[in-house]
Amino acid sequence: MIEKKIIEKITKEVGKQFPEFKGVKPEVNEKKIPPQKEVYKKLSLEVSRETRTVFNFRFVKKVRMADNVRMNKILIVTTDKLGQIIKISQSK
Amino acid sequence: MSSKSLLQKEVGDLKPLVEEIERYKKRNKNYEIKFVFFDEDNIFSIKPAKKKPKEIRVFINQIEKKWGNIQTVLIIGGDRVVPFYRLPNPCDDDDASVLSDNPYASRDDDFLIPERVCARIPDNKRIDFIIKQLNKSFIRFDKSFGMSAAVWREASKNVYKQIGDIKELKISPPTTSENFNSDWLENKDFLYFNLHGSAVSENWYGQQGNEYPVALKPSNISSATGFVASEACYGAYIVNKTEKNALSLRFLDQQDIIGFCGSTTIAYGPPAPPSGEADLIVKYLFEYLKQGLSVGEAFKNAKVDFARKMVRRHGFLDDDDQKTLLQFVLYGDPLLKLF
Repeated sequence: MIEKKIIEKITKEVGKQFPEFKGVKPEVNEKKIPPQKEVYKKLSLEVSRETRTVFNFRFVKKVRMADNVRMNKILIVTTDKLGQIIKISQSK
Repeated sequence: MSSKSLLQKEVGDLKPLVEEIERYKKRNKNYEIKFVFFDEDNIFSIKPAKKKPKEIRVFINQIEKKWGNIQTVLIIGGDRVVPFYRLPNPCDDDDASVLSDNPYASRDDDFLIPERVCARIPDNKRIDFIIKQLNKSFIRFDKSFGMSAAVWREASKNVYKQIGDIKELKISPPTTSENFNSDWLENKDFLYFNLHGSAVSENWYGQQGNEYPVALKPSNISSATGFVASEACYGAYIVNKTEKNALSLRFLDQQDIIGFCGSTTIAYGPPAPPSGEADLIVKYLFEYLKQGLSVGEAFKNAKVDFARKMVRRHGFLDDDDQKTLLQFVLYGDPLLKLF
């Protein structure tokens, strides 16, 4: 679980940085990422032993293109348990 | 590799193609090339496979056991001939699955990171379209073209600087399909697009705030040259499409377009540098192409480097990193080199 104040902080930050998502409430999911042994092996990297926990804040907005095609615009904010932003991604 | 019965259904008599493949093999004497139809008796005496991705993959792996390591798999035909794998979507978005050629590039059951080059020449329902792809060559111009949605201007500059002058990057808006000059795509080495796309539309789109103009439509492409990389959602989606309603096929239908890299599904990227997801794969691809690697090797290396960078940056590949690795495909002759 992530604290409510962290959700509010991220939502406010997204509204500020990306005005098109202002007022959009995120869907928040906790993701446990186990050690990705096969990936590390293929990349010849030392295997990480810890399971990482991150949170995905998924903001979705329906938009309409100039030719009336509709699509869902997605913005994902990935944070750690403390609400520190790890990365922000947008759908193309 | 292709399917005789299914390719015939799409494009008719295969004799001109089989003859062209023989000429292709002679032109590429530095490579040991074998061509097989997976659905008929073959030189490897391997039992023909049915039109199922898993069976086709087993067929490739069996060839490898008999012949030795395969460096490059070139699929001839679209989804109806050699189907894309439908892999579980790691991301929580509207794609029911991820259309991918990665499993054909993987020796083991971890499909994220390829060990082989895998490229595809879509059939576009025309045999002359396939033959054209096998007959392309690159002419160097030392110029590039790039176009970005306005909201991703800075992120795009970080990619485009590998191949061109960032001051020349077209931004949409104000650039749209209406004021687009087709000549911009002529006499270029690289064509780069960081725009929106949709499975149900033939166009790509720009963005500024809530404004989403059509940035590029098929009729904007008349005599393009070079290698195309598109980060648009569904930029490489070709299922039940032709050059009339898929920009990827429209580009490939140009004699001087030597390859196309894009995404089969919803793609992701950062709003600003540092590059991640689609931006980073394309950035690495450009770097390797400029170093003189073949299109196929550059594409494979870009995926490996992307995975390594993301693991080093975050310690893991998250959902959208995994989807990025699976969804990007390469269309065209993988043996061509730009430099």
